[in-house]
Amino acid sequence: MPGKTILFTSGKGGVGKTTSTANIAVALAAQDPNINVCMIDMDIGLRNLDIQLGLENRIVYNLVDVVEGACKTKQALVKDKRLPNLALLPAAQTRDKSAVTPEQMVSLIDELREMFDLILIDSPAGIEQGFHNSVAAADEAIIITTAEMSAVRDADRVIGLLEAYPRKINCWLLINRLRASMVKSNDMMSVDDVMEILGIKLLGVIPEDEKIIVSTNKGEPLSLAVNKTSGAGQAFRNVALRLTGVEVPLMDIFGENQNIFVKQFKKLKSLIKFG
Amino acid sequence: MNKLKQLSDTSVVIDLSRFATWEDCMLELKSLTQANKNFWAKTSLVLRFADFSFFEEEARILRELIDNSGLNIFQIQTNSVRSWKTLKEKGFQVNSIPNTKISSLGGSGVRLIKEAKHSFFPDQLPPNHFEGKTAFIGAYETIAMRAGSSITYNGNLIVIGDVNPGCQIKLTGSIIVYGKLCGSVHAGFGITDNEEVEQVFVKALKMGDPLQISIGEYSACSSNQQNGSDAKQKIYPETARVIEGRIWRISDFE
Repeated sequence: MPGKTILFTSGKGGVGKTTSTANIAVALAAQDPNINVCMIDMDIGLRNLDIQLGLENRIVYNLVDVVEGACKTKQALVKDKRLPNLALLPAAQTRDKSAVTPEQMVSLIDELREMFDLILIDSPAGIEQGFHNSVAAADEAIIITTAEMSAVRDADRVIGLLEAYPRKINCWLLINRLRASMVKSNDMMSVDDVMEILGIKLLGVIPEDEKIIVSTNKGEPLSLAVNKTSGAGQAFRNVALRLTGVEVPLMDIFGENQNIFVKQFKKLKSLIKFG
Repeated sequence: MNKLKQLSDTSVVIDLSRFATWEDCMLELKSLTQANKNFWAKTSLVLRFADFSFFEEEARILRELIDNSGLNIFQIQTNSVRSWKTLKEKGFQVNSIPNTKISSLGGSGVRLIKEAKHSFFPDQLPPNHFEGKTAFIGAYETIAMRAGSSITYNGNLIVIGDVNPGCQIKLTGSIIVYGKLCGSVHAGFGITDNEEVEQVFVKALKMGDPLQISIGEYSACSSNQQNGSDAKQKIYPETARVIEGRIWRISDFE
């Protein structure tokens, strides 16, 4: 059965496309060693996916080399150092997004479908050439947004563009960097507010987590099983399970289901800290 | 002759919109009408000028040309709204160029459900520049129009679904939105007469934020910028219309 292509896009930059692609890809590969996963970094000129995975020193060839015929596809694929069933096709650092066309991407993806079960495409920000290159062969799309009006507006634009494509592309919503305390105090949009505007199915909610910054700098995705204390890491693992068809309830990031003693303990702890 | 189009059983359109200058338009008009004067005298004509701006001088020259040639001009069609007053003062009937095409910007698909050849708003007398058509715009899911999409339409619109922030709607008639209305709406586009503009309305189940409404030559915008949740606000139908020179927001239910 040929592989499925999932696009990670947002419109707005900095909402967590690359972080989500890296963490979800790692979680998918870790969950089942029989599933071969490939990531494609489509941010030509501003590549980052290799840094988030800690693979920047292992890149010899890149996506542009492949489409221009300078190397074979297998030569450009970088195997992950932790998971043998995970590979990265990095972007070029010294070229720009006009170096690739949508037709070339379709041809490349067709070749990769024979080798991998899941192909995750990290789209660049914006709705120009890079976006259209990324959408060219996508089967499904995960729209990533934060709970902010500007990010939601851009996500809405992107969903509209995807809905207008002649080929049907299923869209899923991933809300990133949600802060429960700000939502409770009405300083941040809630999940319901975002879904009311965007009107697509919710795939998951990732809470704000400082450990993301540490993991990005170290090149060790949070969703790796070794780091189970992270809320964001667990949320990414849950998203990966949902993508494989497993029903996983949303994490209780608002603490409403916590035991009353746990709640009181947390309250007392915060009083001691600031008292 | 491909520059002539049959508008109806009684009118013929002379399309001058492809000419860039006023002089070229007049030369073309003269050459067309000097041949077969008997034919033109019996034919009701519509002259179409696209976005050409008519100032006093141009309107006067056109009036003289028509009076001297005996042409029977039924209507002048131009999308230059500022020209309408000048042309009306010279005794011409004016209309915008019919645009029955629903246009979508940037590929954000807007789905046309149905287009009806009558007004659907029985209490509204259609202004004389407006053909009285009504189009129904539908939704893919609950969102009828997403950010970046736009519609320009000569007629009324009924939108089934939400109109998200970042949309643009421009129409010559009135609009009803069975959903939340955000973005920029310009109803009654091209209407300059005060009595006619007061017949135009913008209705929605919920007037959202941000929202810019223009009706005829009047404009207004919503004042509240909400940062948090507005999902808990009550939903009740609202209407915006021009009353005594400004746009009022009228709640149908209190």
